[in-house]
Amino acid sequence: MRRLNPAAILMLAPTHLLLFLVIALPSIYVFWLSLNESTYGSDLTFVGFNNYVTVLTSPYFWRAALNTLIVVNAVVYIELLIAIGMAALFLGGVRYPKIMFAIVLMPYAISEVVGVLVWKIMLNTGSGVLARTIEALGFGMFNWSVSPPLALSVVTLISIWHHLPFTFLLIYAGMLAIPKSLYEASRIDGASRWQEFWRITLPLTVPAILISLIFRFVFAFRLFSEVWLLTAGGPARLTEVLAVYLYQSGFKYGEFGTASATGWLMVLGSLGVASVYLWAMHRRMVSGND
Amino acid sequence: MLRKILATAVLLAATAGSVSAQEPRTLTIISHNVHKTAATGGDLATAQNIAGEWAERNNVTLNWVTLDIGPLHDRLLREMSLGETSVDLAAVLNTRIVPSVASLLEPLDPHMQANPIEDFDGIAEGLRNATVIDGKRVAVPYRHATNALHFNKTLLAERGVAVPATLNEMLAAARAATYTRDDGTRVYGLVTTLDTHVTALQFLSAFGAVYIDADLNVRANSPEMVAGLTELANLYKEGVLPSNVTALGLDELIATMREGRGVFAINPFSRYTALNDPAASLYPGQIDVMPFPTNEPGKASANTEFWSWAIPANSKQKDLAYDLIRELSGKDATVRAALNGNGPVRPAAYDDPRIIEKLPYAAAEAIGLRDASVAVPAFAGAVEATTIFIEEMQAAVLGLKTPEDAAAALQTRAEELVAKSK
Repeated sequence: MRRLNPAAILMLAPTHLLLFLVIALPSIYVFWLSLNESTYGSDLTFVGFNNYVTVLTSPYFWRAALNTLIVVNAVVYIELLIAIGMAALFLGGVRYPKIMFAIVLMPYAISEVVGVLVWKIMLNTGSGVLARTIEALGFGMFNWSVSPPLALSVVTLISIWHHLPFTFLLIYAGMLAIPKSLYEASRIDGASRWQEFWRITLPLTVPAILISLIFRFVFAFRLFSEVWLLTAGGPARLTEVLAVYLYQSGFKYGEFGTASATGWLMVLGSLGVASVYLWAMHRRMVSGND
Repeated sequence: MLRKILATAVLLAATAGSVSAQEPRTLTIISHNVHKTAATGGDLATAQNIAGEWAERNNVTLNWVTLDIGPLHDRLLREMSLGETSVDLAAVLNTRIVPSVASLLEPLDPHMQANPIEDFDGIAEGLRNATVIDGKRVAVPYRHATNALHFNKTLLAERGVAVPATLNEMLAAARAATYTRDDGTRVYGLVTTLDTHVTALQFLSAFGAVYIDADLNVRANSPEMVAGLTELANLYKEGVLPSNVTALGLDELIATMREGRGVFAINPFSRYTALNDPAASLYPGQIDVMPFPTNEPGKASANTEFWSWAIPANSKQKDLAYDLIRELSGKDATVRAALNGNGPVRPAAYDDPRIIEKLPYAAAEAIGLRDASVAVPAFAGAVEATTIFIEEMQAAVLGLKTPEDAAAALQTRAEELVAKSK
């Protein structure tokens, strides 16, 4: 194993210092805050793990956790399937590729808040063009804002729409890196397009898929603006997700201790989910090096 | 030579000094946009720029930071928790003036003794008393938002429905005025925002229901509350309330009324101007307003919330900020702000000929204010109490709970919260 020389350590130091200052230090402070009772205008009072007990015994936390789990899984896997399909389509060749590429990337260029508000206007039960169209087609009134399952479905749809370009780019880059010679060889052997995709494209795109899964799980776990702008967690707090629960504790009620505890539980949760894929990636890397 | 150089240096220093003395100071105000409009007139053609005139006289540049209610208090509280803040003056909602917040506000008594506010006792007594915490005045009331019943006269006439005088008549009228117009427009009999506690409590108070009274007694589990929630749930079920009522925001309510998609609406009196704005409304001058009726003849039901000006204790320009409060709270300024659409906190303002002439709803608002009580009293758990109310009320309206269960849950949860806050 190569050893780092002092010059290399010195050159890496600023980066590590920056990471320590902007990530590690605030995280440690938030953990300390989670062990205290704290609100505006009052000193910290050490309460040990009481805030964690408060959060973990709150039915609203568990409902928010369940909603988060359902939405995050739906968003990540549906988005992944669509991204793989689109990337394969682009790999096979599409007409006007530059225009098509720009169209695919467009949602990512739109501010999340603006995007969600535009969707909200289009889905307005009384006057929204999409809601009225759905009704005119005979599907009945699309009254998503009073139905938690429908509201969470809308959240899922918007989240996929907005983040699909990111996943698509990762997967497409992974597919582009596959050597052409493999496809040429498979064609000589008489493989069909489907066999090419199933036996070459997909297996060799797995590292990119794993990376996109890790990123998207971590990002999606923080899901906030879609829910906050569409339903604010309502009706009757039935569409709250973890980030909304945290926001309510911290910024509405001024309970920084419970908000910090929620934050740390979210970190542990997303770490737990991501670790499965990190482990899978590590195994592939180790086996690849053998 | 040396003398000349020294003389030039002294002259330059003096010039620089006079230049810096002329430089305007900046006063940062954090408020909702309604306060900016009340104090400056905003974009109104008849704007009364009260704050602007004061700023010009005192060579001050006003830096308005306007935010929605939640973010406004969040930002303000964070600013006040710092060693010092650039926020000099803040608008604070009555439910937020609680002891923990009051400790972060500048006590105004010494300022008022040195420079009294003109006819301070002319401000409504209830509002004055609610802004004194632990014997210290921490804020000066500025705006009340008292809820009322707005109604579209054209649509009522179209349906042949008379303007109601009692609660029961209003409910019957709302039902009769729920219809689909010839052009396919769906018209709702009653439009209100049920994503907030104030308007729902306004509706319920017409039935005699009280959530938490001024002495912090929880009175939610009452026959009046159950009756009110039952009626709300029925109105929703019958399609009298908009189908997205629990997510309907203020902007949407205004748009619904302006476009003739709603007949009655629960909202503060001062919304009259916006609803009848000729530039934006399809029914300018046709959307009238009246005190919210009860079934007791001549008695209105009115929930109110009010805003006050306060100075963060860690502000660097307290005297200057107080001077602006003094200016904005004067008798004439109160009348002029009312002409800008503010809810005047001085009852005598309603007798002013300018208000009588310009604001058609002035007399009705004076009656509403006379019978008004705060929607939720100020206490440490007030914000959480409103969240609990919204949750249980929405559950009852959407049929997720029976009104009886929702009222009982409200009682239990609010009692626990009040006990914890004491």
